[in-house]
Amino acid sequence: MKTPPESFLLFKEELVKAQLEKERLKLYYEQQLAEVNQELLRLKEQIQSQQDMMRTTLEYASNLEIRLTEVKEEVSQATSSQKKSIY
Amino acid sequence: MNETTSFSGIMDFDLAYEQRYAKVWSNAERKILICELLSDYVPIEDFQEAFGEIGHLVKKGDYTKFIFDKRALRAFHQPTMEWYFIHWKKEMLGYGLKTHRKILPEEKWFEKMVQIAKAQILTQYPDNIIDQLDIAYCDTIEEAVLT
Repeated sequence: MKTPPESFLLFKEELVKAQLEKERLKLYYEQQLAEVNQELLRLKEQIQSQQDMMRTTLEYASNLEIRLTEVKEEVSQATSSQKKSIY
Repeated sequence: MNETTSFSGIMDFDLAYEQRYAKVWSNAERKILICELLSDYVPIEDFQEAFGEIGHLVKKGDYTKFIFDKRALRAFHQPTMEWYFIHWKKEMLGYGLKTHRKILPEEKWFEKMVQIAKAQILTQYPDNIIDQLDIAYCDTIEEAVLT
């Protein structure tokens, strides 16, 4: 069997190197992508929490508004009944 | 971890634990643990990890006071607060951690949000242990250490 030419051996060696580099880069990008996805999940959770806080605040403000209206009506009724009793 | 801090010279605290979102300081002599949040938001996974570590410290040591510095926070996750308030505090009370001092952000709206959230949690969990704890809000670490 003939010995392969030197250029072929060099090419083969470069090919192995390139394949190893490709694997390294693949792992590196996969890792980077996992980190970005993790960060994305964290940001989603943060946005959801902020939305929940806003909803809670609006519900609270809305309840306060209802209560304020009720108090106003109570005051108005009390005032009118007081006037009736005087005159 | 050999980092040490002295909060305005009151007493030296050793850095006991550190992660992306929190730093935990301890002073065994004073029986105090301080948790300082570092970010405007802490995901539940990381929060539970940090408080799991604080739990280990409480179980190993003889800590009675916990100072929670939340000044960096701008948003909180209600289920996280629920877990901290109802489950973690109850478990820690079993190990003698009875005194809680909290430092909130200066923003009034945040304080209001905390009040609303706390009221919701207390309504949802009527068998909570809040009346067995000594809880107070402070403006600074120094005040929290001394009161």
